[in-house]
Amino acid sequence: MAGATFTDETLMAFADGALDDATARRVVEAARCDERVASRIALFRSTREVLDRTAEAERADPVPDALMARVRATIDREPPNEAAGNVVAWGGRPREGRSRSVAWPAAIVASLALAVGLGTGWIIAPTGEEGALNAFDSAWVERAGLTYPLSRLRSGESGTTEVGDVTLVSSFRDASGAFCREFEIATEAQTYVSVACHGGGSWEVRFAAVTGGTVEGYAPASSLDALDAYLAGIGAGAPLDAEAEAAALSEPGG
Amino acid sequence: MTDRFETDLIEAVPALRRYALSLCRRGDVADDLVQITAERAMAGRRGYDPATAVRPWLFRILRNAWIDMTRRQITRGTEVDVHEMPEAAIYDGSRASEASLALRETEAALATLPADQREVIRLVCFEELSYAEAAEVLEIPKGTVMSRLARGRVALAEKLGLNR
Repeated sequence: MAGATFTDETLMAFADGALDDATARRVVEAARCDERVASRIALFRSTREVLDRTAEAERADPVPDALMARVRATIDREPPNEAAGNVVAWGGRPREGRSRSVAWPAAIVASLALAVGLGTGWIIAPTGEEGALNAFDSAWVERAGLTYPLSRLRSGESGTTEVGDVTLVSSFRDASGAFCREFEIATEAQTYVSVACHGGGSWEVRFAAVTGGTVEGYAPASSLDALDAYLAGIGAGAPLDAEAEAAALSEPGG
Repeated sequence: MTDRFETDLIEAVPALRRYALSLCRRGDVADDLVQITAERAMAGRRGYDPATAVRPWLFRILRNAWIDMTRRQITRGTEVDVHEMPEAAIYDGSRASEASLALRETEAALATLPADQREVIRLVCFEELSYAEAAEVLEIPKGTVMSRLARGRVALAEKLGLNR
């Protein structure tokens, strides 16, 4: 049929039954007199069949009972326990994509006071302070020695600060375009995951959560949940790739 | 006691676990991913539109959880690149003994495909999502899903000698 050429995508969609009727009729017509079209359709059908069989075998795998029990327990725990475990509460879950940075430090500080009361001492407070935890404002970042790592280290790199070893996890921009870093600080007692954003020539810590000790493995789901919700709340973009990060880090004052 | 959403979530667990295994290839990590997904789904259920299929929504949560996890692992420098480990590695002995040679051949052939092609094959051909639903999970255009899927299947057919 003159002029009736079909892309692989169209022929695949035909084989998968995902094509609209009109186009499908034209494909049928073409396949009747064009060997190439017919064999291409056969190829997509045969791969689908092979994959179906593989998928079916895989579906026979039982789900571990322990996992089902965990999921059921999660569902039964209503409402979901957002501040469970060792997440530093941060005053509610932002719903819209606007930064509420102004509200965070006070909430963080309030819960840190609690953390001090509960735990073995929260050494993220720089030495020489009068024991009170101040807001994680730019002055604090400066005193803690975090300015350099936040401004210069690439994701994946580590450095030493007044409060512990810091490892940069990722870079991204929030909804307002501010350059932000997710990082971990391993103090002697604990590891914290934190987010700091750059604005007005300085850095401000906007989020912090305890991720447990320095045990190998993953941060508890609850702290990652809190982080995830926080990132969603500030409209965090996808992590910058290495090139974009390097560009952001090289900006004056960045 | 359980409502529709909760029933859907429970019923999706086997599919979520398969998807998780396809991403991380380790049973214990896959279970954690499913658990994180369940927690986030419950916490964020108001963000789910009941008029849409629940599985793509859940898959997307799981995939994002996996990305979060790998970012940390890569940063720590302790884990292999997620895209470099062959998918075949997830199939342990108990499974392999049940799978016929042909199935294992298919799995081995799949493992050689680029990760982006494998991922769309997983969602469309294993989990039976529509092209549009797979696009939603992966946050890419439907046309990209279709071209990756077509290329992946052509490559698979070649490896398995299906394109005669």
